[in-house]
Amino acid sequence: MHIIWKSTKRLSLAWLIATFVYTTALFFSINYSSKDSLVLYPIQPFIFGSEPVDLFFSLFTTIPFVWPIYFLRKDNFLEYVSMRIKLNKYLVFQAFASLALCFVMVLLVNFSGVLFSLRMANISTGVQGPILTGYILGEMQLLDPLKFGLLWSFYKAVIGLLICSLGIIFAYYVKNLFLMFLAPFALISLENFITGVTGLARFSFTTTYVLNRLSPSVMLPKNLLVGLSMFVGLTIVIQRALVHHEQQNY
Amino acid sequence: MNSKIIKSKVINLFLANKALLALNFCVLCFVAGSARATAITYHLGLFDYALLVLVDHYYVLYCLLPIMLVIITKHLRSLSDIEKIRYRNTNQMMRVEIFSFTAWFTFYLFLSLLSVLLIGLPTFKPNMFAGNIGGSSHNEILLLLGEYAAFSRIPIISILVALLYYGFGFTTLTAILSLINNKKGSRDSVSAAVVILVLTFIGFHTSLSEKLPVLFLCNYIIFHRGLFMNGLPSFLLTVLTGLGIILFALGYKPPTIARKSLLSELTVSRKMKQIIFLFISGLILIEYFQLVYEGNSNIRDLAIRFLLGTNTDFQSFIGWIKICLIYFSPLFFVGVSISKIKQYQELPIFMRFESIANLHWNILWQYAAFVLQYAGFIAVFLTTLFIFGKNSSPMSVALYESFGIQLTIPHFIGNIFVFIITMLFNLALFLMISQVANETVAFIGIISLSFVNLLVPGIHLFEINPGILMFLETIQQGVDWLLIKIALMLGVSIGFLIFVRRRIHANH
Repeated sequence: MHIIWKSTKRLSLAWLIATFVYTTALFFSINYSSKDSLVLYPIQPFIFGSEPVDLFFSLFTTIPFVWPIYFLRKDNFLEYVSMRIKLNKYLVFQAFASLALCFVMVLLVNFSGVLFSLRMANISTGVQGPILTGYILGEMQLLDPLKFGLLWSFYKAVIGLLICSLGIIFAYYVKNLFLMFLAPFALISLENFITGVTGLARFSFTTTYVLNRLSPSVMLPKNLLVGLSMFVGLTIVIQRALVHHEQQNY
Repeated sequence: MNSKIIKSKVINLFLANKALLALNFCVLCFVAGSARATAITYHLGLFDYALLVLVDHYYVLYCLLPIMLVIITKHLRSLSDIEKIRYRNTNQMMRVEIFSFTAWFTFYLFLSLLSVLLIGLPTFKPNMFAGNIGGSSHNEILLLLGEYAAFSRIPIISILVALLYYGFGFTTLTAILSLINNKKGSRDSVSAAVVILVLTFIGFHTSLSEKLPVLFLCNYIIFHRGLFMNGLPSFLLTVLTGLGIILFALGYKPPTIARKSLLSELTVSRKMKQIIFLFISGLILIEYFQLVYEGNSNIRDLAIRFLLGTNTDFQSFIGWIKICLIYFSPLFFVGVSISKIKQYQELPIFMRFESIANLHWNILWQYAAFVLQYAGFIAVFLTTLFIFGKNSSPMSVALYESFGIQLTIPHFIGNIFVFIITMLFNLALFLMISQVANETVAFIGIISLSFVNLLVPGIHLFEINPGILMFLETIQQGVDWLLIKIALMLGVSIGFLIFVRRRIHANH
């Protein structure tokens, strides 16, 4: 418990900065996107506004939380740790602190984004707009946006955990700081591009965390599950490949 | 020694497959006999008749291909362990296998040609030029002959090209099976032969072979299918793939990028250059397959679409990601390199330089050379595609309708020039931000700036990844504006170079 607390304290400044930047970007985007659009339902500014910010979601969920593990390894601190506590246990505590803070950040920022959207939405009355009923929990998005916002923030925080886990794997095995920081972002962007040009955007991992990204007919739970499974599979393959690479080189 | 082995193997191939070859000969005679009536009806000459028989794709697919698959697999399996250990290495063994089969098959093809000519000689007169076979546009065979006549007026040339293509296709097949035989064993090579046969039939009877031409053997064997049906770009891709497989099986190694100095390996290594070359080739291939899938075979459109980008009216997220990948992937590798140099900053090699400024200058020079090589490769490749493509491509027409500007060769070269200057400017910008903050911040900053450009179009001054759309939009606003932008970017890039170079002889 003491280790988790110390790790959390070490990460707190980065967490604060990341939360501030993420919140500011999201609020600005929500405000900007709602200015030029006709707002038909309270959660709409959040849906439109969070999409541009989600391009950098993988950066927000990795860079602030994975650097301690990189430097613990780079500075050979882990060699001394193993004399006092089992190395795996120590790493699990470190990872737990990073993941917990990442989870809280994504949950807080997204839920505050929903609250901000509900507060500033200037609903245009008398206009027939597109309905959300085709989307997953579409009714709830329309009728109970607060409850949906909480659920969505929780779901997105879980996705954030997955990306952060990939970042932690890179941080532990990759020795190049730049590559370690940007590898998850580069991978997710590349995956997004490849699935986009091949017409398979419905199975993209990015689709799983961008709210109402595609048309309702393809935003099905099974498609999102495929995207998630692919990402988990990719994470496992990358971890195995990095372990193999390390064993080959050392 | 090899020629003796090949000679004996060629003779063995004839002797060991007597029954199969006799069966094939009977089918060929039957096909030749069936084609006689058609040829007489349309008053074809001897060589037109021979062409008609030899390019019959049903004969090739249903008779020649299965028989050859059996012969090749038998040929590869016939190698005993005693024979294997006599070869210097596996590569030499595979070379002998492939050369002996190719020699035998070439000989066999000319025997077939001779047989067909002998069958036709009593009935048809030899003809130098292709006969007039227009008018019956509903007859599949005559349509085919018409296409060959359009390819070459001299039927002998068409025959030789078709036979040569058979040779190429079956050599590719032998190379694939030989590789599998040597890596996985004879059982897997038989399974592979069956898979190839099934895939060939699937490709022949569906439109899949036009969409994914390199996957189906019928495109490697049948010339008219490879070229006339699939179009020139698919044909070139198929031939290049086949040649690549053959050369790989023959043990040919691609030329490697020469190692220049230890510093160049520390900055942008050969591995990085190979990765980025493969990456950009992958992007081009994806674009090409998209074009083929849309039924557009004009290679000019490949050049246009690859660098299309976004502008005020056309804001495509995927288009933006693509142009970002093209512009920023070298910067990603430069970022990796900067991080690596920081990691190994105490290496003795860095102490050999006159001063820190001198070291920085040399490193910067390596980065600039890398970015220029990258931009140069894309520039030359796309310009070649643009020049050799057809004039009235769908994309050119669409651009003309949008901007009222005909995208000519000077326009395209102008765009390529802007692309190269922007690449250098981006490098200067990246290195400047890296010095003030760090390389991660610089990379994220540049991507964010580009993303803001996508969301808020119209900030032309900060356009750091312009595509053709943005280039045409700027031209539409006035050439002066374009020249100011180029001058600004060049000014910043050269200014940065001078700034880094100014103290390279300082003694500290």
